[in-house]
Amino acid sequence: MRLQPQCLQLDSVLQTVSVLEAVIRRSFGPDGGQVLFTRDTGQTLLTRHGTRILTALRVEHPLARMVVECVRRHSSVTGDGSKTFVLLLASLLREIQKHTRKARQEGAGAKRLAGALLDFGLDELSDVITVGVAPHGSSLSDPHTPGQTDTHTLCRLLSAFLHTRISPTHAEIISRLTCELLSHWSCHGDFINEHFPALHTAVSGFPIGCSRLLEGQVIHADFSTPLPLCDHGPIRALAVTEPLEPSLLIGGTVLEVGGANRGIESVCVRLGRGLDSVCVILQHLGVSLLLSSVRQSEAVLAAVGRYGVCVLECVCEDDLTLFSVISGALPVSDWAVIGQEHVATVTFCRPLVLGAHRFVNVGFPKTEDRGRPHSLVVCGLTEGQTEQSVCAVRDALHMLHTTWGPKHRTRATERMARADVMEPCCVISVGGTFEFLLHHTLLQRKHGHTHSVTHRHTHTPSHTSTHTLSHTDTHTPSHTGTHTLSNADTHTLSHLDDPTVSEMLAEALLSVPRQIYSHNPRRYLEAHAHTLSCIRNHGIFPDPPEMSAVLAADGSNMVQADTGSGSMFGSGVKEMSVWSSSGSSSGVESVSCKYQLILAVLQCLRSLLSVDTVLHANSSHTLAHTCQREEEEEDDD
Amino acid sequence: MSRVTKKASSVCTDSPLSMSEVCRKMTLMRQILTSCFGPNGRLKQVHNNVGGHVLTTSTSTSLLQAVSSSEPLLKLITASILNHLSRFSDCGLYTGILCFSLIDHVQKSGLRPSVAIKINKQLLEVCTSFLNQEDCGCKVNVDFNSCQSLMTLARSVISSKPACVLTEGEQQHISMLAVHAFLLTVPCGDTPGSPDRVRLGRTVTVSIEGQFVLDSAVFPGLLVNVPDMQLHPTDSERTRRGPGPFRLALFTVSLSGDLSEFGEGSLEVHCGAPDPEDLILDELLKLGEQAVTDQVEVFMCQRVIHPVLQHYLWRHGVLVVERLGIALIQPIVQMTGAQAVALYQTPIPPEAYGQVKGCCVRTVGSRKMLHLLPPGEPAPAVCTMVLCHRNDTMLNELKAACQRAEHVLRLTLRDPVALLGGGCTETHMAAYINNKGTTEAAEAAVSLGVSQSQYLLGLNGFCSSLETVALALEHDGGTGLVDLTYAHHWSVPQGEAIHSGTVLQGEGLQPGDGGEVPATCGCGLVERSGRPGPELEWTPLNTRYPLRPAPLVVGKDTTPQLRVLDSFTAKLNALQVAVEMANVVLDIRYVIQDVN
Repeated sequence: MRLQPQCLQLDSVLQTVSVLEAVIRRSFGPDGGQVLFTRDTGQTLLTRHGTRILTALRVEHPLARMVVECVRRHSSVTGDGSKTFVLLLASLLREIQKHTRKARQEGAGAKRLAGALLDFGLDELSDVITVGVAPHGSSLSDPHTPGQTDTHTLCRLLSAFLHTRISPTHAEIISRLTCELLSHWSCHGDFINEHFPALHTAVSGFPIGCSRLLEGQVIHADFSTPLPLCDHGPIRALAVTEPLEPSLLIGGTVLEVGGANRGIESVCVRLGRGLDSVCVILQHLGVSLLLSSVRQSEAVLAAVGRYGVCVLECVCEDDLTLFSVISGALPVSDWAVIGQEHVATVTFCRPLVLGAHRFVNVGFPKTEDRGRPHSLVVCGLTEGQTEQSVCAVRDALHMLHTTWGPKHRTRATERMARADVMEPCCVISVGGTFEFLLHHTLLQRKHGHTHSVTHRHTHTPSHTSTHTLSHTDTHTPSHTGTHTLSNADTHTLSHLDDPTVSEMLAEALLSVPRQIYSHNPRRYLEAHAHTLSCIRNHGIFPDPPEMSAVLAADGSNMVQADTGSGSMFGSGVKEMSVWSSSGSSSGVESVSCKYQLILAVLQCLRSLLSVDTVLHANSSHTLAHTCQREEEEEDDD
Repeated sequence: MSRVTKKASSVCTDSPLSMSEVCRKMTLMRQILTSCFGPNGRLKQVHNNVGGHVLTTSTSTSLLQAVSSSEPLLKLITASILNHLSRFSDCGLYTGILCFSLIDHVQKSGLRPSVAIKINKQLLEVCTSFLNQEDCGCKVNVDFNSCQSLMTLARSVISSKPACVLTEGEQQHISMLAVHAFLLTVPCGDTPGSPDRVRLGRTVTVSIEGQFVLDSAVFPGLLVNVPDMQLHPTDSERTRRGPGPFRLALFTVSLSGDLSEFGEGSLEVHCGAPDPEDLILDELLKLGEQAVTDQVEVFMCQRVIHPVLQHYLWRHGVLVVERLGIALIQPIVQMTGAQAVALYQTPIPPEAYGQVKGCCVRTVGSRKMLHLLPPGEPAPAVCTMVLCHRNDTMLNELKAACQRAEHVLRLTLRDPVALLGGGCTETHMAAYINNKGTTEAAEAAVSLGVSQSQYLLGLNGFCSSLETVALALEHDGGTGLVDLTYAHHWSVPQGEAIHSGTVLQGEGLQPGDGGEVPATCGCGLVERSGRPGPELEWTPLNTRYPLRPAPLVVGKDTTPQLRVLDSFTAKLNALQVAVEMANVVLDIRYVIQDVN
């Protein structure tokens, strides 16, 4: 089969990605707007979520589908950065196009460049960020007590994230509530992340300002029995997953009447007696609240109602799990064995009317380890809006998980065998600061590179401020390291293209802040200049004492680095905070999320450019397969 | 696999608000809503393309449910209005008109959406804080010591539904019934057990077609539909007016004697063994015996009662009512204090019995119904509202209107304030905001990060939108005026030559001089004559005239007759919903439609 000419291929890829970029651009940045989409069911939904927008497009072009799939995968991991993904991908493609056009006679193919970029990203990017960007960031953990989360920074992080996902007027309210929710739960982010379905309630028909936090847990079911109006003191509750009175005849069984059995009346009597015995057990345990995940028969409701027990039927699985986790009581599945370990204590239990639904709000006694349980009530005008807010909060929690989360394993870290290269909780001001900083570090590095390229193999530590020892360390083993790339590319060793590659990446990165300030080019220049002045001011200021605590806490990398780079650390933070308080953006974003984003883009780029031909197969099997895949994707949403 | 089809790509629309097709649809929707607004609103007939039921209405709920648009933006707005209505039952058209008007003004002003959104948001905050002020000029307290303000509230709701086709007297009658029913459902004294929580009773509506509206009535207690044959001849004497209360037993389980509750398995009956159905009947009769010994006078069942049991009970002088239906069970439980019994195998527990004070047969229209009188105080009150009207369409509209009115009255319990109706709240608020916004424009613009001229443009659009709502009350070619002292709304009938931009001088208009300006403003608070202070001056609505609304000092002895009041809670929410929705629609850059 004849291969198509390379340049044509690149053009068509760029064209496809540009179309996606044009859609995404509309909702990107502080001036971006919402996208309204209607599902095939006729449901109207609002969104600013990049992945949502891209999947809603249902693009047919195979390359575009591939990009959408990459974005989806990336955002399902980090919950963040899907719009930046497309922007960055498009601008990288443009850079590659520019470069191949310029240097065609040299035979620098787009595929080779993409490979080199990926290698660069995997091998060196983390170091570059550690050196050039991380010192300007601040840590999410409290500088005074390591291990604790700094709530103020956390709020800024959340609010900046939510501003990219819901309309700005709503973002303030939702981010404040999310922050409060986190602090009520003593910042057990993972716990909230896991139980989020049970921890929030969406109510449509009210303005967003009515959203609030409720103490205790909201159980999404209503009383099946009238509530006895005595809710003083602790209430004992029982969670059950079985019907109290099993159906008398299960399908397939035969009841013989007459003969040895006394007849139908004995069955009836047994039925009544069985119920009574259950009620006696309940009374003995002092239970006055039953949470049942299944529907109970009317006879049961009437019987337990007489003993003053209220019943909540059809409590969903998530609610019941959360209830038993918080209260520490096991759900009952067998009536023969009920003990004290099944009985939970709740402090109050009151009906709650939220919009058109009636729920029940239960409270739990205070515990030290988990703070005070609270639930989030999200209000919106329509279902589309509440769903958008809920989705944004869910992704925010996901993003926090990534920020806090254990260090991701990259090739670079594996080879260096060092546990902590980049501080996982590092955050940096929004508004393109990350991109500007990385841009400059990459460019400086390029100059430094040409300067020190002769020293490279002699392991001489470079003298430029950005070129630290750790950088050269990475390189020596990379020749022996295992390449996961296809063997066709192994000859394109990354260091050959290094200057070009970092220049390309640096240029491409600038497209993001350019888009952020697209409506106001002057602000772009101001922001750029400001970041530059920050970098320039680095070595001048002395190291503020409080920052050394962070230094010691955040890992060993700085110990190896010379003290000069350590002293840059604090002043950068200070500068940034001054700037951010005066400027419009006071939010922060996670550096590790950004790093992962760049890696994901490079990987996507690499795989995009290694496709040379698209074959349109006409097999029903393939079709069925892809359709199935799409169905699964929809379930994920 | 034949069902697996390829998904088609979605249809995308860039900046939907700039498309003429979308704008045309939105204008149409706006016109529909505007023409329905107020007591003089025009009715709409909705019928589908395959014939069938024709709906005549002017209420937002029925209209928006019936008219569905394929345009996603309209769908979104409709959904938000319906959601608002499902919570507050009032001010649906208001929300729609204000929302469309805000969008329209922003588009005309040429402000960038993100700027307009910020300004709208800020102005909304000003509005809500103004309305929540203690001394807000367009708020009146609802006085529960007299029915006057409650009546006005109810009549405002009912009179704003012209599809009910009621005369003045009929409106008065229905409003009175609505207030009566509402007062009956408010329990006296504390609810036992929880002093901080009040449990409201409920109103059951019975609608009867073909009778005069003035035959509508409210009864305390419940009217139960009982077929003629079930009212045994002996029952007519049993219309117990004697000394109550009587005992009542209520069953939710079927007493028909069949074996359906035994699950899905099969039953095998040995030869010679007693028939299980007989055994069950024995059980039922045992139950009947117990009821008779316990002196139960009324025996009710949600489902079917076995004829033998019925006969047995009749013979012992018990009133039997079967097939009540699930809807009546809760009201009966609430009124009588009975516990619904769901098991007939065990004896009836004594605490499950409820009480009624008495019962009698009432003829309502063509129907005979059993009237259960509620037991004495302090039972939570349950009442029945019988609504009559000439035909089905009007009756449905009337029923909906009464439910609205009840909901609006209930909202006053939580927040015992009401807003001036007749467009006065809107004009007054617009004047207040305009005044406040103009004086504080510089600071507000800085805090929002917009230029001062942008802020003033946005402010102008917002105020005009509010006044547009007041103007929408006018349908017969008349004009809306606003007085320059109190900024209330005055509507002038058709035929008067008023050129926009001219300020009418009060002294130039003599009473009876063609009656250009009515005697009172829209809500009835401000009177043209007999008022101390300077003469009033007017200007047409939507002419920007700088005015500073003065607080109205009302003499204690001469309480003016307020004609129209609106629910505070509903209108406050409606205002928020309208502004937020307009903001959302303005913020939409892209529409993606999945066409599968």
